[in-house]
Amino acid sequence: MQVKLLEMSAAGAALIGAAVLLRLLTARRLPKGAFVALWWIAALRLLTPAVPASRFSLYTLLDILRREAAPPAASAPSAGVNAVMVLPPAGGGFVPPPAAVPEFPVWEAVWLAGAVLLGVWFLANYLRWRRRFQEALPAENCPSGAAQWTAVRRPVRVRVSDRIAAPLTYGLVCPVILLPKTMDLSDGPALRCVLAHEGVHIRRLDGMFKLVLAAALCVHWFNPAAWVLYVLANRDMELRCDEEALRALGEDRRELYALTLIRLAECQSVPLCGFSRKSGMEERIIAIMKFKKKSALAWAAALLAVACVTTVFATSAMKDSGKSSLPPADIHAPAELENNPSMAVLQELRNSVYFEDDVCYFTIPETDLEGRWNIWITGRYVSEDGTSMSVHYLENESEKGEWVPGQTYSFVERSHPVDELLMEAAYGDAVMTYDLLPNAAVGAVDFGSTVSPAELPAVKEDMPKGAAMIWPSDSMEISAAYSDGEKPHSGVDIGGLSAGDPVYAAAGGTVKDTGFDAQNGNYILLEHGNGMETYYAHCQTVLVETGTAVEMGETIAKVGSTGMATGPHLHFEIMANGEHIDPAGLLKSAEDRAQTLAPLAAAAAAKSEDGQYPVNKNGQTYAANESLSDTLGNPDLVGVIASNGEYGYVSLKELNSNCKVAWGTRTGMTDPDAAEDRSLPVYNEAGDVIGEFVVKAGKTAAKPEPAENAPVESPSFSRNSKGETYGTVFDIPVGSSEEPDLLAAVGTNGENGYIATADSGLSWSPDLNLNGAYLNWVEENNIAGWMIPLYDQEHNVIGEFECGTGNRPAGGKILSYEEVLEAKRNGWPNSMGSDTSGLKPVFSSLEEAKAAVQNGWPEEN
Amino acid sequence: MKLFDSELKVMDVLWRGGDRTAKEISDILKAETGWNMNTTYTVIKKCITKGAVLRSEPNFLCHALVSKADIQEEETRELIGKLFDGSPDLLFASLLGREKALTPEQIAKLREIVAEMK
Repeated sequence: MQVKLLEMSAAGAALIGAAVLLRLLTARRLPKGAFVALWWIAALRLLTPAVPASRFSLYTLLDILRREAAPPAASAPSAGVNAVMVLPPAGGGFVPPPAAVPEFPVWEAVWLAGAVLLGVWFLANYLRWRRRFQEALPAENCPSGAAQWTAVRRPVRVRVSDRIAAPLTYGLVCPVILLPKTMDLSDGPALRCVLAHEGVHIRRLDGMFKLVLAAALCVHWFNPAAWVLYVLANRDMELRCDEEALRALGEDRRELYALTLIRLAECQSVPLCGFSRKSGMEERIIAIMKFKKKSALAWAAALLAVACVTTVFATSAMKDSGKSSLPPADIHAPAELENNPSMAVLQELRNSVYFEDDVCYFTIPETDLEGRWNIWITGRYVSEDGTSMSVHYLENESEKGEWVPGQTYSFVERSHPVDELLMEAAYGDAVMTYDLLPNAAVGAVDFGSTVSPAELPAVKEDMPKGAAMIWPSDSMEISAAYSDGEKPHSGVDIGGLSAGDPVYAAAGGTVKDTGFDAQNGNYILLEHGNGMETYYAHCQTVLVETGTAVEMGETIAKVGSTGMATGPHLHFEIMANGEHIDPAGLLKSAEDRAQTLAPLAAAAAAKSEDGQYPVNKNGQTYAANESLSDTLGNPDLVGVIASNGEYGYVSLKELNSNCKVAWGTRTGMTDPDAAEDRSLPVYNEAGDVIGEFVVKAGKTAAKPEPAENAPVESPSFSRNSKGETYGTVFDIPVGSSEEPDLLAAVGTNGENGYIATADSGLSWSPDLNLNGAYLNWVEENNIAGWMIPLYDQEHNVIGEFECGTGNRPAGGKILSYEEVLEAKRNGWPNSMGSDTSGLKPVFSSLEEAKAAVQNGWPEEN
Repeated sequence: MKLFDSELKVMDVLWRGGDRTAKEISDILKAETGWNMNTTYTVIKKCITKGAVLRSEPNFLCHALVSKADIQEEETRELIGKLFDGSPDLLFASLLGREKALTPEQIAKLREIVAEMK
């Protein structure tokens, strides 16, 4: 609206400027009617949003010039010079979805107020005078037939008023010439001059023109050119009437006509008005006295001048359809989207793209739809050293989101031979990604929400049972980790993905928001209840709508690289009560482990059936930590997690029998006797190598042998305001037995927090200082099957921590994995928020539960 | 008391034929001046406001409070100088256009120009 108005105003101003110039240059040589015609056109141009296009339009020329001078043009600032290097895939920080607070349109309000004020003032003036004019009396002394002197075919009434100083005309339909009472109506020749003049006003519809001028001024009151138009048009209207009246009256009446005007002006004169200036009246009297009938040549010249000025200034730019535009897109949009007007607008945008040499042009379509443009143009190329670089074009416009409808933008694309040039455009509820490279596959148009999710799995396969939250992708690769350090990254970037791969809902819930923003591209925000939210960014396509419910594991989007991204990846965030937590925890969470442990459960079951460890095809026995049997001794292969996340087995022989800590499902371990890191093959149950298991050298580390009095590094835990220490297992130096009061752990709600060693009731063992093991810590500490509080670092309860499933201390009851799962399904005893009704055993206090862990569960009755 | 021509026209009706209802005045002036009813009523209202006419019920009976002799017709020019509030030429095509009132000196100069260029 605003833009359109300014555009009209500017175009009008250009036309007015041209007319003013013409008026100055031709002085009195052209008939005044030519200028009145130009003012008419200018006034209508100011009031008309759309004008016909012309090849000879000034705006066509400007378009051409802009294209030829594309590099220095204001619209192409960022190419090359401003190229942004992003290495590796840019991790978009979480930018909160745009706030829905509507900004108060200050300028629109000011404009509207001005227009309304001026309009009301004009209207009030009009109505008041109109009423007075109606009180005018018939002109009794007027010679009969005087109305004929006006040369107007319509019936014209001549009346007299004592409220006006000079003759005037009103009435668009039934014209009335109003004469001042002061005028001597018996003076025939003078009256004839006046009526001839007023007759021209009526014939040329000047009353209408006055209204049009007033309307243009009201709308464009902020534009000085509109005021110039108003003043000059009114002046030229009178000059034109003088001219035409004299043409009818004859040149020899010039003096009479001029004197009549002067006499009327005299009636109006104010004796007290002190200063003297050159009046417009003087110009007029001179014009009258110099009046000569214009030649046919002058009329032809006037016609030509008006035609030229109109064609050049009052038409719009011709759309150029030549050049190397993009070939028509091969689009198969579903029927329901073909009628989506936003989609049509995006299509129009794409059709406007064309290349000329190395310059790419596109025009923002003009549309009546309400909507905001979001356009990002990203080029990507691989430099010589193999790093992927991205270049952003028209970055200023992209960031500000200032895309002017109707304007043509351009940028130079030659600075780098880009391998990929994508334009991502969003308008209204439609999103599109275009491949702008002219030689690229033509069908690369990707209709935002048009791709049927049918080709993607509806839900994630192999979801861990009972999980509260799952990993939202099939790829386990974290290409950029979570960080709250100096360069915070509020989530993880999941790499190893191709565009179009599925994005899964990490948990069931509601789609709180979807949309597009410059930083994050197409994004989804899910709400899971209990203050939990997950956020998915850079999606190629969003497959869900705001407000709909999603199931855990449901495919909600396709992986893409929209927004500030250098390649297809998923930026994934977890928020608990608005605070970000590291989603990587999910990968190693108990829930996900449950999945990786599944084969172990099977192994355990196999063992219990025939009293033997299962045997693989190579004749080796294998067993997971949970299935180890005292009576059977050690199997040949023992369960571990390989560094690639695969579950498998390592050979105990290869591992080194001295390494007591081989038991357990962990991603790596430290061999206190080894001086060098070792890499062991990880086998599956069939005996095939599926990964590696790293055994870190532990020899160099200080050994926990008090006899040697080895200097044990003192731990440096952080302290909270209560003086309690807190930290992660990684803060505990090797060999130290000191542990913080609060130890980092991930709660059942996914929240990063701390558990109190006081609550766990168990002490730290230096043996457990293993690589990446802190989540397994509880397991190693044999805290089994119960819930303890999860705190923030200030020891405020923020959730619950599910204690693990490992071996129990002597005398305690060991919960089997199945029992743990069962307990999870039914709710944990003593949990903080889970439904515990009807469950046994039920502990009334944490201490009681702790005692049960250490002393054995009470027998069920 | 200063009355405009339109108001004098209403007074004239009352002076000529004595008290009349607003309807009667309107009918008479419709024939004489072509005024429509609204215009006449507006003018009557102004006369009442100025104290020249007394209105009484029923039927909006109008009575002239001032005699014709009381009303000295003012110099209209003077009136215009004093009552020229607003610009009729803003939206109506006026012969003199959007011109400010001229001083006698300016008028004299204009006459000189005409004389010279004759």
